[in-house]
Amino acid sequence: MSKRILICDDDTDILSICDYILSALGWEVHTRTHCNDILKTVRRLKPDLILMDNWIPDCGGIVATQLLKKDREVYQIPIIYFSANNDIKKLAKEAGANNFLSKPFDIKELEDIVLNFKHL
Amino acid sequence: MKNLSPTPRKILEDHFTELADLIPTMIWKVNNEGSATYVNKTWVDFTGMSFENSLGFGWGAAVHPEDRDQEFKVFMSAFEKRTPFQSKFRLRRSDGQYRWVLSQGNVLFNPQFSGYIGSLTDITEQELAQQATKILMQKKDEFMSIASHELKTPITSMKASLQILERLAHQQETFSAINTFIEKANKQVNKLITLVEDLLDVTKIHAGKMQFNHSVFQLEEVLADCADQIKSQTNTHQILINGTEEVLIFADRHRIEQVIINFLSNAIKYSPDADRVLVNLEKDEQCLIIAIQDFGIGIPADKIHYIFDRFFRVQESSQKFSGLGLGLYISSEIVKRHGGEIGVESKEGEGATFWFTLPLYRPADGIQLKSSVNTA
Repeated sequence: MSKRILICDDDTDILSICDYILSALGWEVHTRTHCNDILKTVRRLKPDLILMDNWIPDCGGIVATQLLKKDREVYQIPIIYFSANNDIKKLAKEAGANNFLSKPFDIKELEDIVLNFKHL
Repeated sequence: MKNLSPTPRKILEDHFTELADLIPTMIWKVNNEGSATYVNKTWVDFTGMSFENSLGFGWGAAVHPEDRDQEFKVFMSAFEKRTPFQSKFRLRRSDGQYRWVLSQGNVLFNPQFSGYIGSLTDITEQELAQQATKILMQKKDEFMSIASHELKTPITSMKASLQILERLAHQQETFSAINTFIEKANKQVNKLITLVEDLLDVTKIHAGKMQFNHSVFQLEEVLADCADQIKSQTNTHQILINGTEEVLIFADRHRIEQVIINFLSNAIKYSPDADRVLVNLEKDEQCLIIAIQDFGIGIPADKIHYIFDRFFRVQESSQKFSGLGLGLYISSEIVKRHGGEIGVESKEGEGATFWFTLPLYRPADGIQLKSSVNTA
């Protein structure tokens, strides 16, 4: 059975690119352009992995990550934080993100980081 | 032979009080118990406190209540160790205004410890300038961080798209997919170019080097073009243009397009839940008024005056909406340089109407207009 990934990014082009790359790897890809009701979405979807952007409406990636990592039902789902702002790395880790991917990235980097978590 | 002429030190001592009253710096002296025994006239004039009231520990009344404890600590710590000290605090002027002063104290030995003598210098202007610089630096840093983010985002898509393209190119049967990604790359390249151009425009404006190429054209044409261009940015908004009478203007067509595109894309960006943007064209005897109205988040009343400032972004929305905070600044410079006016009316939560005016073209004053272009 294919693994499920949720990608949150306000840039729809990035979403469709990630969708394309990860679908080719056999992932079932779900995308969101905002973090509204992120808890509800994740609880319902139960993804195996989450890819979280930083500047994303409504609450921002950091708050969304904190919310997810505090939730008893979904805290164990790994979150890969991805952002063009490298200064946010520390904050993302503190919020509970399991890994960080800098934008712009090589698609190979994206594939590797996701494959790595697939074996969790 | 004994020298009977007085030493410079003796002369100074004799005239100390006259000298001390003449200089613009406040001077004070405390005895070996820390109690003030002297203040100069500059102190009396500055604080409005009498000489007598300032003595002992009376001077403390002029120190800002919030700074009093800290200043007392600095003084006592130096006093106990008999060391010179320097500090900064707020002192009340006779008009009631608190001013930042630099306080310096030196130990007196005569030959045994006999107290301190010191000065107070008004450094409010330097303090304010320093604070302003600090805020400016913060803004600059903030700007640089936003700028790098905004520049990197399109590059991210571009880079990934091109990498996908590269892979696809190796598999001959997937040409239709190649086109899709070429399109994406092109779109993002254009976005990048716009961002870089905005940054360049600001630099140009700052250096007074923005160039204009004027021509005579119909504004309605430009509006229709802009509405057409902006359609790719939205699936939800309709651009409704009102007032289509033919109006000729004499301006830089590309720059006016830039202003309209900026207004339209802001209108779309800041009204994610709305389905329309209204464009209204009006004419009076002097000028043409172009107004673009959205039904979005609007602008808080306390922020509206800064909306055309360089780098300004409404704090509350800067996390939700991307942008460098340059578009409106550039637009306002373009409009001003065309001899027009720019403005905004808004109510938070109800939307905003951005408008600008352009002088009407009258063939008779073509020459006059042209000459004003040369000086621009």
